[in-house]
Amino acid sequence: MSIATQTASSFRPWSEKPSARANRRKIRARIGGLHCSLCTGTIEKALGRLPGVDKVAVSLTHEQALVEYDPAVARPEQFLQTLRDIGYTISDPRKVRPFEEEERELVREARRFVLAVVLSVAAIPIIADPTVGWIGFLPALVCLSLGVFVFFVLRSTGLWIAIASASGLVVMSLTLLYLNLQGYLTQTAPWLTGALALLLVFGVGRHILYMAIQALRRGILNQHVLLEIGAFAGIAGGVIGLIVDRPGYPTAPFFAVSVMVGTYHIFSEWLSLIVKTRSSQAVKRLLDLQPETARVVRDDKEIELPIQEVSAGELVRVRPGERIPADGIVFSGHSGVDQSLITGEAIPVEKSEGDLVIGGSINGTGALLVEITAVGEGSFLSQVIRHVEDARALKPGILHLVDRVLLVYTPTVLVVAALAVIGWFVGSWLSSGHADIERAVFAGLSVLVMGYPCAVGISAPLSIVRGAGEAAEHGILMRTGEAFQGFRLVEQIVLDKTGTLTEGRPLMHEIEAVRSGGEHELLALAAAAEASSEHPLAQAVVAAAFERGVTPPDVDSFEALPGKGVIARLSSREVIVGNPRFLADRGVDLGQLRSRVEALEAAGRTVIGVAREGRVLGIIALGDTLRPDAIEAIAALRNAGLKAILVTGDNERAAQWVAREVGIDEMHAGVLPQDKAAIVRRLQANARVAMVGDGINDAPALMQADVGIAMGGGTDIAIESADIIILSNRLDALPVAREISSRSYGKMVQNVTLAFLFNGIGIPIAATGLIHPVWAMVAMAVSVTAIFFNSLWGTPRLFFDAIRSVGQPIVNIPAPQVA
Amino acid sequence: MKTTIFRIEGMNCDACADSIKSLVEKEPGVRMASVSFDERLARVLYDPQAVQEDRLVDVIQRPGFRVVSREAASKNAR
Repeated sequence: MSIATQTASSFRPWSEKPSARANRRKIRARIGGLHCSLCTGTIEKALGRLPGVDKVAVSLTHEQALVEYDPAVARPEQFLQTLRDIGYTISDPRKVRPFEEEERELVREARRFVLAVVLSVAAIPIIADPTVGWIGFLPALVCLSLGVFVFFVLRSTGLWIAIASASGLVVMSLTLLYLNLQGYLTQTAPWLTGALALLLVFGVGRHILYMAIQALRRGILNQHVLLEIGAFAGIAGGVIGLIVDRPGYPTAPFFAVSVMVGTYHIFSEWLSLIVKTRSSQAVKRLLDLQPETARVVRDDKEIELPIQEVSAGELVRVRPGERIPADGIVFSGHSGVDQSLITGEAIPVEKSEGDLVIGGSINGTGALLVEITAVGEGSFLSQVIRHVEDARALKPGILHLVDRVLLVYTPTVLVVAALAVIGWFVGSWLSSGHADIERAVFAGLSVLVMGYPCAVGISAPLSIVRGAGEAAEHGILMRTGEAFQGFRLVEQIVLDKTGTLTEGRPLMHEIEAVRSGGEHELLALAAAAEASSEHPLAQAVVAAAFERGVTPPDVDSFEALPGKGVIARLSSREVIVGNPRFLADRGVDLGQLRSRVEALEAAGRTVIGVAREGRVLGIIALGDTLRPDAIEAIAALRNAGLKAILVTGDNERAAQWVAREVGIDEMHAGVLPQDKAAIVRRLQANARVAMVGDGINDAPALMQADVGIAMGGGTDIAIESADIIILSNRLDALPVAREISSRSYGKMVQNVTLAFLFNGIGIPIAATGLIHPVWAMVAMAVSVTAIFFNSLWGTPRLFFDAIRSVGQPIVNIPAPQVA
Repeated sequence: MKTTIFRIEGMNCDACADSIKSLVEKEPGVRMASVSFDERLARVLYDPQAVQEDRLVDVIQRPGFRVVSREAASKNAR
């Protein structure tokens, strides 16, 4: 049951519907071309300015926008035009990007990186200058490290291809170095590096140029803009060098710096794409991608059809244990149905002729013939999915750390560059009477070249690689930026009850035999009578018997009365197992056990009585139990300063019991799926909220929360909606995940500091106009190396695993269904 | 219903035990199974009319584990 299986019913690239408020409508669209977290603010501003627009919400992670507007004043076409004008693309929000497309993008980005490295490795030996001393070796080190990366990028294509390419690079650079040292390149070096720089900026990296231009049109100064400023400053410096043609002017190094910054930027783009794709593929592996089918009765024959082809009014056969394919009314048959998708409770609800059943719920022991009443858009499940999609755009975003820094940094670099130009111009004019334009321009360009902190692009992805690796060791899958940058900021944590705080399935709590020592016999008989039933209560009885080493005896005959119990014959004696009232109806006197039954039922337990030949043998109490680590995990979260809140679809009594057991003060019981998201939204007014859940009914709230956390054993929709997935199904992973979040954020801060540090030192020096552009390359090499060491010290394996783990064919999983 | 205890050689860790458990539980007729790496044994509750003991031995041995002995658990007692 994946969101991907929803088909688009309209050709317009957005979905539209009436809003909850009177005279307002809402549209939702998928937006392409979001290159940084500053984009969300830009879109919200651009659309918010239009007349008739009440509310705009944009999610970066999910690339969705939700607009609420007054249809009397505004038209949706107008919004889309506004977005297109500033360079965004619009696509249907109901279509999910297929796996193949992600793979293609990854291959394209890797190819760009390899091409960029070829250009860099050509440029560096050309400008190598043995007269500058030890600094001359640093570019060689850069060459070497780039060569190693190319080897690893191509490694998945084939070992020999990788070896051949890497050695090809070595041969090329050594040849160029030889020619350079022999003095053959003195004349041609500026022209060669110039060509390489143009090839990189306008050829291999033209997509970055395009993104930078788009960002400028939107008035955003992001990484791409900063890169192009640096690259163009390098090209400008080189072109000026070619024109003035003065000995000692660093024409070739200026061009070479353009090549280098471009290469590093492409490398960081590729790295962040790997991080993104890896997490989305990891989630796809968790999902059950089997297409949903239904057994439709047509002309007295049962045929299996995809759900999309079933229409309202048709009869569908649902066998025991199967999922009910769509909303409908029971036409004939009798069964218990697990409706946990509404309430989260896995205890079956009895359904017979004329009762409503909901698509997606799971049929129990009986076969049902269901008349379908609603499919597709009108069904309960698609309503839940719509709530998830709404929440997707309303999910609060976070400005990424790098973008926050750039907000200040980029203007500063531009101002310093301008000051350097003006300073030299005015200063030289004042001191000597004539303005030294040449020196002024050189200083300005040096600042711009020095200004691009090329390690900044790798600082976030590398800290995520490290954090994700640490998380994986604890059985936690952290998939989005929210997971890493957001979880540490969360102050409130909303927990679902069933399946999250509790096991979500009944277990035996107590057993009471009339005759002392008769527990084994009691359990054996109960298990024998229930052995063939798939009902969760029956399962619990059989499991309890099995755990105690009791083998249920064989049953001669057996009759099940849904909702009541079972009558079985064992060794030609009649055994009744079931509801205590059912036993009483069959003339069994419970005796002094009656008060015990009442007490247990008042405590929220389900009680089963067992009688043989009309005489009661004892009772068994079953119920959902807390996960063993629930109390400790909640205490740890409270110690970390989080406020825990319980939200459940179950009744007040059960909720209260669990809340008291684990020590939660605030709770909401009997909550419907869409209201869970509303509760989260209300809490978000106070502080950031994390939501922990597992069921379909939790999905909208998981999506709405600042950080959604799904249990790994949860339903597909819950997993798809979450930012963090706890594969180990252990609650004590929650405080661990929070620690990892703050630790990897700390790493990110360190990395970003390192990235800006070297350039920060370099900029004032460059402003003096006395510095060779090769120093920009030195700063780059040092900061990139420092960040690699800082992020992966002791665990380089994590990085290589990350590179290797994407783009591999997924084994044993059928291809996703094309909706 | 019948419970049989299989003594198994070749398990290296709890993950091996888990994979044996899920393989055996997939078999029709098997009601419940528990596999212990520490004790090197599997305990299986199954319907002997639906699945033969030999079949269960095959299932366990197919991935390369060896069943060295098997015994029926005594009825209704530990």
